Amino acid sequence: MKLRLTYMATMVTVSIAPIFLSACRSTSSAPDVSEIEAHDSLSPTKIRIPGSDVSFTMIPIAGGQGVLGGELSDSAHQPGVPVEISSFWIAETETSYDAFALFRFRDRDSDSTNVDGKKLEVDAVARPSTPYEDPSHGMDGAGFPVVGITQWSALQYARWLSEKTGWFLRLPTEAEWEYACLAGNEFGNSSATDGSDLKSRLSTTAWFSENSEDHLHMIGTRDRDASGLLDILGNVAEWTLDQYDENFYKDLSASGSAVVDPWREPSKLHPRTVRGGSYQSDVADLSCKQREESSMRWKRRDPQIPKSFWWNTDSPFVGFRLIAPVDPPSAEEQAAFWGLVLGG
Amino acid sequence: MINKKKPIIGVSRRDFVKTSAAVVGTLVAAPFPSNASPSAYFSSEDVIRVGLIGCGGRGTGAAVQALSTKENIKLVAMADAFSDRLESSLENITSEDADHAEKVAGRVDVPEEHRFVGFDAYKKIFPLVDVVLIATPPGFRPIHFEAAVEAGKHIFMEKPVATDAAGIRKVFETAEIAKRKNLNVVVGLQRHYEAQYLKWVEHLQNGMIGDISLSRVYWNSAGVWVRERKPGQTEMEYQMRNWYYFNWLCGDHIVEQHIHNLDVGNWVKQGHPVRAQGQGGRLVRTGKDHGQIFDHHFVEYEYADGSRMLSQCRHMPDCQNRVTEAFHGSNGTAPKPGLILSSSGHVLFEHDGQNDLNPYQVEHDELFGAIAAGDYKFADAERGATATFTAILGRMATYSGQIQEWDTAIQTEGSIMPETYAFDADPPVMPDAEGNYPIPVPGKTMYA
Repeated sequence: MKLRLTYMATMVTVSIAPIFLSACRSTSSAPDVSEIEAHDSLSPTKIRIPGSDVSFTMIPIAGGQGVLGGELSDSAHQPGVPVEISSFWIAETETSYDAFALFRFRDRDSDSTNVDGKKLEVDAVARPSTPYEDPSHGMDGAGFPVVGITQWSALQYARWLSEKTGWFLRLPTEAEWEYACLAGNEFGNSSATDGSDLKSRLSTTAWFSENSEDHLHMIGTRDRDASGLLDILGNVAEWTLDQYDENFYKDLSASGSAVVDPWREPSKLHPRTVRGGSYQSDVADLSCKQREESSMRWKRRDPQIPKSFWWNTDSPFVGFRLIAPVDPPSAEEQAAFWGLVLGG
Repeated sequence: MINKKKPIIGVSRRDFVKTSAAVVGTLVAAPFPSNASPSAYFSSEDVIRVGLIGCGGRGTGAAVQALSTKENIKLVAMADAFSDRLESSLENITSEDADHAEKVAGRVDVPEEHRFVGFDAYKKIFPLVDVVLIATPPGFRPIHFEAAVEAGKHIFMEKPVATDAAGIRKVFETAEIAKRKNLNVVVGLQRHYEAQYLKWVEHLQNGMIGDISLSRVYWNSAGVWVRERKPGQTEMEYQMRNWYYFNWLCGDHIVEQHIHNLDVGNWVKQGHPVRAQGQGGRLVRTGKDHGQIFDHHFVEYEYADGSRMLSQCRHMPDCQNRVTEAFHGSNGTAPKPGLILSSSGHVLFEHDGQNDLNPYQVEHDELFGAIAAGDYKFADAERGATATFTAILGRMATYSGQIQEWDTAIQTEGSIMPETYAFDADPPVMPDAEGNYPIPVPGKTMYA
C-alpha cells in the first residue's frame, strides 16, 4: 500500500528525487499572465484557456489536518483517519461542457498555447472519440457541466489543460475532495434528514432528487458554499483519483499516525471513487463523507467492443472538478504521473 | 449516383426467385424439426457453432454478447472485408484484460483458415457454423441475410436491414423463407428486448391513453465517427472504411440511427406509415469526408388512421441533443419511455429503467436460449424491414421534397448498390474532380 500521494509514490518507485517546484512561478512560464496575476497570493485566480474565450476560476484551499471518513456508520466509511493535506487550488465549478468541448473537438483547439515558449502540438493530442449515443442523455450543452465521461477521459482532459496552461491540473484524491468539501460546508460531516436545518441549507446550495426534476442543471445556479465553491454537493458527482476500496480507511488507520496526502492508487478499472452526489441523489446521500463506487454498469448500453475508453453510456450524473497542488511536482514528476494514471 | 436507375445488382431478381424456389423445395422435403433436441441439429458435442460476418465494433460486441450467454457456444469462424478489422476484432474478443474475458474463455476457436477476408468472405462461413451474427454495413444486409437463410442458419442481424427499396423487398421475401424454414431471426432493434419499453408499449397498445393521434420521435445528436481517406486507398476501399457517409452502405443517418425511434412509433401504432413528407439538408457537416448524406431531416409521417408521427433527426454538435419517443392520446400522454400520464397529469405508469437488464445482452440470451432448446420463437426480420423502410421512406421524402406513398415507394425500381463488388471497381457514387460527392437536392432529386 502506498500512502504517499503518487506523483511522489511514483517518484520513489522510479527513483527520481521528490523535489518540488516552488509555488512561485516565473512569469515567462505562464501564459495569459494578466489573468493569473493573483496566482502567487493564494486568492481566487481566473485562468483563461489559451486560444479561447473559456475561463475558469481556481480557489485556494489552505492545507492542514483533518479526519478522512468516520461519521457515516457503514464499514466503507470507518474508521475516521487523521490525515494531513497539502495546500491546493480547486476549481470553483465542475468542468464545463464548453471547456471540455475545446479538448473534444480538434477544430476548436488553437495553436495559441505558449508555455515556456513552446506550442502544444494540437494535432498530436489524443481526443475523445465521437460517441454513438449522447452520453448526457440530452441534458448537457453550453453552460452545463460535462457528464458521461470516464475517469480516463477526465484525466486526458486534465493533461491537455495542464499542457495548455502551464498549471499542473489533475483530479483530486478522495482525501483532497473531502477536505475541500468540508472546508466550505461545516455541516458536511453528517447527512440531512427531513426538516433539518441541513436539508434546508442544501436546498439552496445543491441540485438533488427533490429539486432537480431529474435532470442536470446549469453551472452556478445554486448558492456558493463558504469557500466559494459551486455545486460541490449535488448536480454531478465528481471523479476522484482513487480506486474505490472499502478497506482504504482501515488500512490507513493501521499506520497509527496522520497520513500525508493519502491516495489509493488504482490497480484496476473499476470500481473507482466518485464524490458529492448528483441531481439524482437523495438528500441523505449528499454529504462530504459519502463515497460512491463506479461500475461497469455505467457502460452497459455501449454496444461496441471494445467499449469506449472515453464515454459512459449510462452515467449522465458523473462529471469532474480539477485541482492543482500549490506546490506542484517537477516537470519530470508530472510526466511520470501522467504515465502512471494514463498508461504511458 | 443516387438518381441513376439500374437493375438490381448482385443477385438478379430472376436468379433470386429461382434460387429461393429451390431452397423452399428442399425445405418442404426436410423441414427443420422445431421440437428436435439440439443434438439432432447441431454439430458434435452439442456445441452451437457461431460465425461472425462483419467484425467492426458492433459485430465484435455482438460476438461477445453471444459468447456471454449461458448456452454451450463456440465462435468458430469470422468474415470481414478487411483483414485488419477481423484481426483486431478477434484480439478484442479474446483479450485477457477485457471485462468479458471470463465469460468468453474457452469459447473462441477461430484458426487462421477460418478467418475469411473480402467481399465474398461471408459465403465461406456457412459450412462451418449453426448460427451467424451479421453486422456488416447495412447495404450488405439483404445479400448476407438471403445467403444465411439459404444456408439454413439461425440469425442475429443488426439494424437497419437494407438501404433501398430493392433491398427491402429482398428482405421481406427472405423473411418468408426463413419462417418456412423455422429459422430464428433476431434483429438488433434492442428496445424490443428492454423491459422499460416492453411494458410501456404494452400499456399504450392496450389503450391506457386512448387513441394515439400524435407521435413524436427524435434522434438529435452530435453525429458519429469519420474515417479519413488514406493514401493508396481505392475509392471503393475508402467508401467501405468511411461507410457512414455513403447511402448505398449506410442509408443516411435517418436510416442508420433514427430507425430505432421510428420503429418504436410503428410498434406503438401497430402498423407502418402510409405516406411521408419532409425536409432536410446539410448545413454543418459539409466536408469531403462527409460523403453525400444529410445532417438533418424532419419528416411528417401519416398512418392509415390519419394520425401523424413527427420525426426529427440531426447530426450537429452543440445543439440540443434528444433521443426519445413521445405519444399523445385522447386520454393522456406518454412523454418519455417508461412514463404515462393521464390528461390531468396523474402518473398512470412509471418504470425506472436504470436497473433493467442490458437489452443488447437480452437479445442474445433469448435467441441462443431458443436455439439451444430447439425452439422456433423469433421472426424479427419483417419488423426490421418495416422499420427500415419507414426510415427509407422518410429519406426519399426529404431528398426529393415530394410526398412519398409507402405502396409506391416500396416498388421503386433499380438499386443504389454497386454493380460489381471489388476493391478496384467503382462504387455507385463517385467524387468529382475536387473530391466532392453529389448531394441530394429537394425538388430535383427524384429517387434515392
